[in-house]
Formats: sequence, C-alpha cells, structure tokens
Amino acid sequence: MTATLFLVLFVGSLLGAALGSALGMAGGIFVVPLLTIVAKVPFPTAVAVSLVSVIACSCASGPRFLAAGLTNLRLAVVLETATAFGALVGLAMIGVVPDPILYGIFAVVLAVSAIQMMTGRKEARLGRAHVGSSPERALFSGTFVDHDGSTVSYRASRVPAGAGLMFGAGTLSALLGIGSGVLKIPAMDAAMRLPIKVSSATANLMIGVTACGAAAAHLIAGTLDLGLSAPVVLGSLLGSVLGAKILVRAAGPSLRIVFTVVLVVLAVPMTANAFGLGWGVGP
Amino acid sequence: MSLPDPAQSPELAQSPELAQSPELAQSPELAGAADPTGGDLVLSRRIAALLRSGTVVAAVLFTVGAVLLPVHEAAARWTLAAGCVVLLLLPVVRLVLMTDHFVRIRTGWLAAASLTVLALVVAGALTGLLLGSG
Repeated sequence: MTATLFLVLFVGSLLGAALGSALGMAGGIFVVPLLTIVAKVPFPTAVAVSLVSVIACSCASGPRFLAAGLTNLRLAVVLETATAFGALVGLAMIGVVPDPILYGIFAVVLAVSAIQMMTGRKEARLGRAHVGSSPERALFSGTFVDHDGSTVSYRASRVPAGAGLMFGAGTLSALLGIGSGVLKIPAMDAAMRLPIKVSSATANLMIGVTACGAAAAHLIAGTLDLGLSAPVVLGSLLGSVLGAKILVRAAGPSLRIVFTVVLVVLAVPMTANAFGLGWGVGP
Repeated sequence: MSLPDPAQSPELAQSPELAQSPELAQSPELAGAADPTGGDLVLSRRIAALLRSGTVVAAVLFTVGAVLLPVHEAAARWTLAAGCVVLLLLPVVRLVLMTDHFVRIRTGWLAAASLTVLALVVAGALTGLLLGSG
C-alpha cells in the first residue's frame, strides 16, 4: 500500500465516521464505496474491512450514550437476537449473490438513506412524563434526561415488527458491510416509536454485535485484508470520537445536506458497477 | 430492611449516587430497587468502561501495526490481527456482562436472550471456517 492510498483511506474513513457519528449513524456506508471505487478493492474484501470499521465506530461512540443512560440495554439484547440471526443468513448468502447485485442493493441503500436524511427523522408523539412521575413498569420502558432537563419516559411498542426489520438490517449488514441505518431508523423510530436519541443510542450499540460474527468469520477465513484495515479502522475510531465532539456543534441542516450529497454522489458509481461498467477512480 | 419502591420515589430511582455506590453495584436487589430497570444504569456504566478501555487498546495495536507495515510486514499483520481480535471481543464480553447481570437480577428470559445472541455470534464466526475451506 502506498503512503498516498493510506492517507486517502484514513482521511476518507475519518470523515465518513465523523459525519455518521454526528448524525447518529456508523460510517460503513462510506467505507465500502471508498474501498471499491477509490482503492479498487473487490467488493467482498471491502465488506470485510468495513465490518471491522463498523464495530470500531460502535465501540468508540457507544460509551457516551451508555453513560448518559440513553441506551436501552434490554431492548437491545432482544432485538440483537433478530439482527444476529439476520447476519448469519447474510453470511450464508456470501458467494451466492453475485457482485453486481450487491452493488445494486448498495446503490438502493444509498438512495433510500439519502431520502431518509432529507426528509428527516420524525420524533414519535410521546406523552412526556412530568418530572416526579414514575414510568410504567413495562417490558421495554425507560427514561432519560433530555437536553432541556426534563425527564422523558418512553416505552417501545410493536417490538415484533421492529424485530422483523432488524432481521433485514442484520442480513444487509453482513452482505454489504454497513450499519444498516436504512432499516434501523424506520424500525426504531416509526415501528417501535422510540425517541430519536434512544433509538440512535440503542442502534449504535447493537451494530457492534451485528457485525461481530460476520467480521470474525472473515478474520478466521483469512478474507480480511489487515493492511487495508489499518487506515480504515484508525480513521473510523478517530472520526467517531471527533464527530461527537466537533461536528455536533455544526449546523444540523448543513450536515444533512452534505451527508445527502455524498450519498447521492456515491450511488452513481455503485449503480454503474451494478451494471458492470466498472467505475472507479483509483490513486 | 424493606427496600424503597422506586415507583413511589422517582428521586431514588434516578439518584446518581445510588447508581455509583459499591453496595449498589454488588447487590442486584438494591440495584433493582433503586433503578426501575433493575440496575441497568450500573450495567451501562460497566459496559461503557469496557468499550472505552477496549477501544484504546485496539487503537494502540492498530497504530503500532500501521507503523510496522512498511518495516516488518509479518509483525505488522500479527499486531493488526490482535487489534481486530480486541475489537471483535468487545461485543462478546459485553454480552457476557449482560448475561451475568440478568442472571443476578433473576431476569431469566433476558439472560436467555443474551446467551442466544452470544451463540449466534459464535455460529457466525464459525462459518468463517466454512468460508475458509470453501
């Protein structure tokens, strides 16, 4: 690997993780196109490296959510049974699904993610508990202290529907090497009606487990390119931390626009590769 | 001694001092009483500490591996592989912590759920043996 390529992958992963972290997503959706288009790496190799970077992002940004009490651990572990099973199915599909179809699915995910980013996430209508009132002792209930100091109580609903979408998220994660926010967001925001902060925090924790089995499979099989993983993982770790500290101060709408533009730009060559045109830039 | 009911005392339920007390950390009954979700806040902080320290170790290994890459490729690959193993073990150890917690607060079905996830992750990793031999 040349020094230039190392730097390009490091900076690209850093920016992707930082942008994703600021918006509550992992950076895997940027890493795979970065590796396939810029570094001209085969799709399966890019997926393997991206899975490790997704775990890195999850572990780096998870502590602040956990310390703030935003992560619903009980809901996470129940939904993880669905995502982990989905990831196992996705692993079984590796080598069966042709690369052009994977590129096509990835392009669709990029496009849908761009649409979701522009339409924005809608906070479910919750009955906010007054300070001093206690939450119901429901199965997946929780409370957190919001930015205005108020205590917010919530309860996840329609968990089976959410689990179904999470199964799909797990399959996509193993197949494409991403965090699958495109399915997690509708699952947790719309289907389960979780507050956005709770769904972001809980989903962030879950993706580490979802990607873990698939990443371990690649490491054991010897299909994980360790040399490529160095700049990508280091960039992802640093970007996840910086994104939380620096980019969160930037204007929200500006970040969304940048994120959307990047997603759309990346969707073009991925679509081209789906049709076998072999687009790539390369150093 | 009868434990206070957090449903009657939300201040108790959200008391950070209680959440951080060693007695609370070691007593599932007290943890469950002070926190309506059964001491999950204490568990959250333990997991946060695990992820923080594990991420630092992984970052050091990846940095050393990156520096060694142009100089000593074999040593670099071992170091990078070790960094990957640390990252991959973090979610696994997190699941073990959660299983232990749910067993101690006697929430069997959640313990079973976390064990199931652990089994699925291991099964996923073992498919690597099939991928490698295929």
